[in-house]
Amino acid sequence: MTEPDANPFEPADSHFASVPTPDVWLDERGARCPAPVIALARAAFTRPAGTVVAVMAIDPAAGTDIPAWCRLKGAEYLGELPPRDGGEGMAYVVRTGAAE
Amino acid sequence: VPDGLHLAAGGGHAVAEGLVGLLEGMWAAGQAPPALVVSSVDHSAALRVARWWRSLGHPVHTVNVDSVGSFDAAEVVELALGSGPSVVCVQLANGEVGTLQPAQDVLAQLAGTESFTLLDATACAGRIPLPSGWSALAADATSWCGPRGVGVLLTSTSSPWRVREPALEPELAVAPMVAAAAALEQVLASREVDNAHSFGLVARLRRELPLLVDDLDVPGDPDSRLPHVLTVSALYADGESIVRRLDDLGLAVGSGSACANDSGEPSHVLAAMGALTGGNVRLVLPVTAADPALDQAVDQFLLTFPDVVRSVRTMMGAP
Repeated sequence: MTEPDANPFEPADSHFASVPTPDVWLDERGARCPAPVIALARAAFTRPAGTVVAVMAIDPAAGTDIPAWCRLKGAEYLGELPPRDGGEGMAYVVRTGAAE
Repeated sequence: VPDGLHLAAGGGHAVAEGLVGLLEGMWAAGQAPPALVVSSVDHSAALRVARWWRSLGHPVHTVNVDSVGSFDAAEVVELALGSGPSVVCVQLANGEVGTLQPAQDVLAQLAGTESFTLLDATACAGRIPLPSGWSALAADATSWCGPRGVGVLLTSTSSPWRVREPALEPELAVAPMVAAAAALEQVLASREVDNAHSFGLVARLRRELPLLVDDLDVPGDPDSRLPHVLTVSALYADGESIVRRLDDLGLAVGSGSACANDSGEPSHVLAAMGALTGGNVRLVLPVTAADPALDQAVDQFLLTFPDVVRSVRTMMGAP
């Protein structure tokens, strides 16, 4: 007998602890898709590989498209953090790969 | 053996009525409410039923998919059999990315068990052969190039499905029914030829588009797929602008991007697969009988799409 699913909309606070501290925070909470991904790409391409970048966003596509960007661009998706100022939305944290 | 045919106001309606009728029919026949098993790429109507069933405190299990959007038949069967009496939503093919699911395996392995199945054929009925062994089957006339708003629910003789109250009785006009039947006849008449042709056109698009457009995600199984469905996502572009510009050029496409949907939510299918949801465009090729200029439309898409993406990216300030 398997256990029924946990509620997928319940935040799993425990995994925040394993996400490294970002070097750079981008605030894209006023922006719609694809602006948060564009801001991430611009930030990544001007910084050395290995930089940890957090993109704060409210747009619902960011949670899917930032990990997808990592896959397409050889970066590592590290997970989510609450926004630095405790405000609305989520911060998506990425370790940049070799420059494109 | 199908013994019941019920008309619905669309494929989503047929899926929902199929699942709810199975859940309630089984519960009425047994002691406890049955479990519901769905996959993360199921029709949004199935996922709405799952949320409702969960909200009543009944067990719901969601099966995840791999990167091409396919679920694992063994995992579905194990979950279903481990749940005791259960209703399982089994997708035949995914309508957004085209991936074929191991539906036949699931149906065969659940035959004669306490698990009853709804086969969701809304993306492909008419276009590909349907497996047998389901308790209920949902279809949508648009999948065989028929009119919108015509759904069909078939139920088998051994199915616990029962009409719920109030009974399924959408206000359906005769004209769309006749149109749906005529369209189905036309599609079935040349299905093999059309499918081989569409498969080749989509293969060409899958091969050539990434050579013409940088940073393009082409989700879904390249081989085990519906012949006529293609979805692509372009980085640094928004789906709404791409769809609008293609529409201005006379090319009608769909999109799973959040900005292009009424819901404002990105496609749950693309999200479940880890595919890019932004800049998404979906093509569902009609049969040649429904559109004799299909080849030219595909040529035009190959010619136009790269420029459209470039101009949207420039507008967006892409890197």
